[in-house]
Amino acid sequence: MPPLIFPEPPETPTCTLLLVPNELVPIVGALFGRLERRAEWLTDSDYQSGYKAFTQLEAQLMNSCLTDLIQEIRDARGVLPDFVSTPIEERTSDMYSSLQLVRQEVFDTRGTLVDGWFTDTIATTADVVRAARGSDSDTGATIWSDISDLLSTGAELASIVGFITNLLTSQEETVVEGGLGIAQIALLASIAGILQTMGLTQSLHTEALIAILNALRGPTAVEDNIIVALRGTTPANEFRNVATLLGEEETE
Amino acid sequence: MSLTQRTTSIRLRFRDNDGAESICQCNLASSVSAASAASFLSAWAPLVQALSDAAIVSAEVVIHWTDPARPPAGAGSDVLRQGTFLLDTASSDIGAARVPAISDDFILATGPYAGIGIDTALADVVSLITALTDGIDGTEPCDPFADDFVSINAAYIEQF
Repeated sequence: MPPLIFPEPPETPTCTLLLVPNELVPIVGALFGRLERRAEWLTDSDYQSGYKAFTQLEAQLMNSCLTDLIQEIRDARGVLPDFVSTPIEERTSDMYSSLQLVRQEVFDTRGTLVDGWFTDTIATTADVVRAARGSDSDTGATIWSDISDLLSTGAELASIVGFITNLLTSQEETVVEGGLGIAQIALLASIAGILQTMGLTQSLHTEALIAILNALRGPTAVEDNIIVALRGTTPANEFRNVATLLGEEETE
Repeated sequence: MSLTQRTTSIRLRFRDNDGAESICQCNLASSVSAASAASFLSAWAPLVQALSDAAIVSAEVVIHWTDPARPPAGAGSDVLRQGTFLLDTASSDIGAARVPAISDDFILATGPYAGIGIDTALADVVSLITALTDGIDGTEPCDPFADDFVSINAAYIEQF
């Protein structure tokens, strides 16, 4: 065979993927290795280019590129839980998840409930947002109106609790069940109601205390009150002193 | 292994107009230094060229050592079954070094390249690779284009 001339690369270099069975690597490598000899090439330039090109090809024979590619794909699919402990080299393709399984898992996370607003309905992200809000566009006005009434009329605690209970357990389609925002607002409303009741009670107690104090003190200080009435009109002196009299009784 | 130096060879490689090649060789005593042998080659080549229609395309000074005892080879050894060490060079190319009749003791036993790949973690293999990449006593090997070897890229059997 006449000495080889190293070809000029095209303007747009391209490659050919050649799958070499591993058992043929020693033979194919040796074929490439023969082209490392100077005598195989016409000029020193051809020899240098040829040597470098074919040693690269020899190295590629050990890159295990196909195995790496398969493993990359398997890593992307993800190993099934039952085979996590199986050594990688012993795993087979069916031990990894598939796009179909991944799709089904995502679909399953949407979930359905046996009753309530999500009954037989596959929840969407929009549904979850509505649930967090506690209302949707059709029913929201009614619910906010109910809360407004509770707050403005100073509703009793029992009525507020009843409202919350109805809200959390409602199974009607027109009311969003379990709305976190609604529950929080309703709780605030109940607290406001309790505080209002406490304020009214405190006000009544204050009026009673003032009346008692007025009764004890009388309309004019010192000369006209219950203590003066009990004591009579004679002022206390050294012989007429309640504390002294009590002390004498104790000593006797 | 006990190597003894013998005569030094001076080789001139001729190529004819068909691309065929042949060598003109003469020998020098082992006492001649490498520098003197190279000097002789420079003076000798034009003398031979003057007599030939072919062209000298390369020349070599070969300093020979030999083991006169010719020790026996290992059973089953095959010099065409070579351990090929492909090494990255300082110029980001790859150079090759080969060990004829690579022993099975150094071949991978498991993995996708079982029976083919060379276990580059074994101590003797590491020593060889270190000598190729780091040199010995300050002298470092290189590829045919004077690019130093810097690291191992791949190592496996090639069957010539």
